[in-house]
Amino acid sequence: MALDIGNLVEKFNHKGSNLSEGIMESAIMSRQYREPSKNSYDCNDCGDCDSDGGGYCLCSDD
Amino acid sequence: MLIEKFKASWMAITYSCNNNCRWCYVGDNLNNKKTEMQLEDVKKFSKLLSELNVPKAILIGGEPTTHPDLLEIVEILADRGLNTYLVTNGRKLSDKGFVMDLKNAGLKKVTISIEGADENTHDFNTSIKGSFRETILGFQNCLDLDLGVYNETTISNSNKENLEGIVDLLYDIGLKEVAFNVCTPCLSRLKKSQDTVSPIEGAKIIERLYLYGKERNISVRSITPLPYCNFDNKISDEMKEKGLLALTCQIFYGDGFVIDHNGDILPCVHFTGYPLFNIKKGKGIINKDTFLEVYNNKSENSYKFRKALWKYPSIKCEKDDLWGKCFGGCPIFWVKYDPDNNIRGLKDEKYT
Repeated sequence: MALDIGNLVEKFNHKGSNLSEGIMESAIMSRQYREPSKNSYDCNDCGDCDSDGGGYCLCSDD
Repeated sequence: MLIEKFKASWMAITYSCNNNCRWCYVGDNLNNKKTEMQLEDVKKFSKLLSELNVPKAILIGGEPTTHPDLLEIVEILADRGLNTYLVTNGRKLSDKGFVMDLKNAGLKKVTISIEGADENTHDFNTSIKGSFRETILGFQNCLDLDLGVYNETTISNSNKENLEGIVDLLYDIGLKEVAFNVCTPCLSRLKKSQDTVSPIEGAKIIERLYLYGKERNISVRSITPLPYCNFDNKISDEMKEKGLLALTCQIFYGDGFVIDHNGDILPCVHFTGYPLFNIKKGKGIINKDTFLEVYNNKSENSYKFRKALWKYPSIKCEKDDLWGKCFGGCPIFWVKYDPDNNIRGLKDEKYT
């Protein structure tokens, strides 16, 4: 049975305050239109060396 | 539309596995026989990914090589123009013919999980005697057949003492780079998550391994986002400059998603059982436009989930204003650990 992802986030033991929707949307938009790197050895500093999803560089277009 | 460009999609094609790793994120769903993605669904899902211009499909599980139709799945995805990768424990890749078949089907790269530097440690962590030997053979076969291969090693309480041995072992086998995760809690089995390593200890172990590799000219990569301030500034700067330090996670940006075996859309594989929404509709699936509408709609789960994540884990993060560079690391840590005790906080002005 599917569990409620909203309730799950409430279990994250966050102690700080929320960021505004505007900050979130602006950061997402900025990343949406960033150019990909040419290959996986040319890091584009996206920081997304995907964790348990294989460690693949997500900013590369390789 | 806020999000319309995606970097990657993971496809959880089965939760069957021929290992039984102590910290598996699949939790109680592991080896549930009803979790095999059907070929007809793969065709529909791959069409959607293609329409969404998703460049990469990463096959994951469970253990994807236990899926009886793996070769056909790779072919379907590759035929759609998706760069197709595989995350595996490598045991079935001990069959060289199978590796060749995967390569011929269109597989581009493989990541193999290795959980110990020796047979005893690895087999203890996978709970399967003999798994180490097969996994090593899997690495060797990929290298022999010139199929791009990477490792992924989870730093846990049960292997953290001899991770240097993994660096040596993989370098000797022929890998150019050695990559490490830090064990995070399993969301569906929190009380049994005994192997996790705290974000502070995790950063210290990564530093130790990076320096060990550096002395030997071996690149050591950290792939679990950790609070940036938990690292020694000099080491984290060096790793960042070399592209060896994961800083953020795609779940904050939503430009990656998982398609689960049943059509559930998940933010990442750790959220198995916690879907954002489901793409099946009658005998088919929703189209690209509906997907983007649901994915971006402020009243739907996907948006609400991302919004809930955009929160400082600790007041120390607010003070240092590093948000957007590390996000306090993987948020799943904060289900088990107290951020105030596990985020060091920065004092160096240059990061602000």
